[in-house]
Amino acid sequence: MAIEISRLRRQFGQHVALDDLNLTIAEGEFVAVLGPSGSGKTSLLRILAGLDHPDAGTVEREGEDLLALDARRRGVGLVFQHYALFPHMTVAQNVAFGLRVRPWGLRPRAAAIKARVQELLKRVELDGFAGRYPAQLSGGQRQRVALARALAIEPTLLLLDEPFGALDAQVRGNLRRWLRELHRSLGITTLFVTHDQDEALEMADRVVVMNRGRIEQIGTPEQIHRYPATPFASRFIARSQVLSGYLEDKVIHVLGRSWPLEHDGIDPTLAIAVHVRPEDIVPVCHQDEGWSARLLSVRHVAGTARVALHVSGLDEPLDAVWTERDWLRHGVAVGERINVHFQTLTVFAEGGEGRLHARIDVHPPHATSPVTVGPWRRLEA
Amino acid sequence: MTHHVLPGFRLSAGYTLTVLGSCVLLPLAALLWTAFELGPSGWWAQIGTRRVLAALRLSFGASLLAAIIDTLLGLLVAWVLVRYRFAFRRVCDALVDLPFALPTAVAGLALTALYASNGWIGSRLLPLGIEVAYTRLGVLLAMVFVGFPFVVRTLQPVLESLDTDLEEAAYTLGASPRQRFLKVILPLLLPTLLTGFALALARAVGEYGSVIFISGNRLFQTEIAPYLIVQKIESQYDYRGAAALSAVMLIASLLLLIAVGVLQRWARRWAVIR
Repeated sequence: MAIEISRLRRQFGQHVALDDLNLTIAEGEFVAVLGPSGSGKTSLLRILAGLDHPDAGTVEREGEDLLALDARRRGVGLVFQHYALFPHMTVAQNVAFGLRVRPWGLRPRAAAIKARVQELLKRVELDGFAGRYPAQLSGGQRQRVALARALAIEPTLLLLDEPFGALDAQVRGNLRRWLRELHRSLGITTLFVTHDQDEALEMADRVVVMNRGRIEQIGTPEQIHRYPATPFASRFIARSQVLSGYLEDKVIHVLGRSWPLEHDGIDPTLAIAVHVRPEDIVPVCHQDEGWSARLLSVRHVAGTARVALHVSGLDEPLDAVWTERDWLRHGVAVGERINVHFQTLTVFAEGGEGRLHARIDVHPPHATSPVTVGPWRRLEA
Repeated sequence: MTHHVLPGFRLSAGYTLTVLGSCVLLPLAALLWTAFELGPSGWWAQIGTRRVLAALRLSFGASLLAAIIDTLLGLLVAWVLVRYRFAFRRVCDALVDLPFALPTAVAGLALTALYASNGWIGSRLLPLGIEVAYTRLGVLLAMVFVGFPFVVRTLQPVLESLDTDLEEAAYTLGASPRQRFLKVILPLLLPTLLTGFALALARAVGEYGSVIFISGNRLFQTEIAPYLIVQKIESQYDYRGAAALSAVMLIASLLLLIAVGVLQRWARRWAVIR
């Protein structure tokens, strides 16, 4: 069912965990809340589950006040990062728990519970494990039991708190795909909390980027990755790095090159931040093109070359991600000089008129067409 | 070859066996040997008397009851100390150890002074028809007093490490507070509760100092078995009689502890190692 969160606020002493948060989740949607630890994403989850209460704000489920309901009666399924399986119960007893604790009259008959448990275990591909104790299962199996247990109460909202955080990479990848499939077949409105960019972008219909109790950006994985709306989203999602740059007389200067600003009414004294993504730093052939850099290190990971570069004029080294083909063609020994080119720069500005950003598409240096800037886009507060 | 912190298996195992043998097994073997010298009929002549049987019944009956009370009381106290934050919590926490530290005779005297018919509490209980000092109730009280810290101290670390995720999971699945306690928390605490119970029981069976003051050692009424053992030696120099009674206590205690151990294994059946 659709969930509408408005002006949700939660404060722990001086720390503001949720700062007037607004979010609408459509029926059957799979939403990932992505943010670093301390961004407030877990607070949001706990409030939705009924384990914590906000200081202000409302949460409605199809017009019904969700916050007025005790966690027991909320019908919200919660899956914990560390599974939280009952160690003294078998897999079947764990899954049946939510049905067995129902008050008389609402509790299904023993045979019905057994059938439901069987069905759920089949669903999470664990039929045959009914009699095992959690200690006898692997991490991935435990998390699937936890999921089956949460699904047993037929929740109208499913919450997942970093569900794959404690698993190794291989299992995590398989479980992601599997969970995506499961969601497709069940269609339960699902909110998924994670600090792992890849996980959020790979799995969700929509990604909510959170930072310091506020939503930085909401969008599809593609939108978020290609057009990060804020400096934070740019750094956190696209792993962008900051280049030194400044604005002077409507001209943007970055590392010795400049671009005219195609927008009137911009405060010329605005402070700007120039971001570049690792995959947008590419090697070039000619000595007189692009920017001069020194190779600090290279590691070969998953079919890519992860390169650390020291670009002249920058204090911090830059990380770049190249294809192995680029590396074979342009790679040099560590310590040698190499010329690189920034393909796309994103410029963020903050001043009297609010937050603005623009993209600079830096064309290949040997191309004849001029570089383009912007247009400037105004960002929502 | 794995690396061990202690020097080699042989040396440490030898050390362990030597200490265990000289401090535990050898004295117990000597005790049993002395007791067996009596033969079955001589042994029964020592044990089968009304006085001895009454003392054994009191010793084990009161100890079992005291251990049960300690377990319930200890669970409550440990729960409050771990789960709540209040003024003087650390002071209360330190007070739990007092029965450990106090010489048992001091505890016995203090309890007697409090609960005697002219004592501060005893004088108030008397009009209600409750006598504590110099009755079996007094024996029970002293045993509860000395056994209580064992339950609290065994339970505390387990309660502290108990994952609140489990309770929250049960909560979101629809369990009432009562169901969360009975179906989730209690089964997880059960093995530890049994450990605490066994320790409190062992302590109560072996308790001497505090009990003999408050019990008054009335014939057939409030004499405990350890008191009779001391009596046999002190007033009659009857080492064999004392050994016979001791052997009975030894074996009974051993059987009780084995029974608790079996229960514990059952209560931990879910903690399988793959």
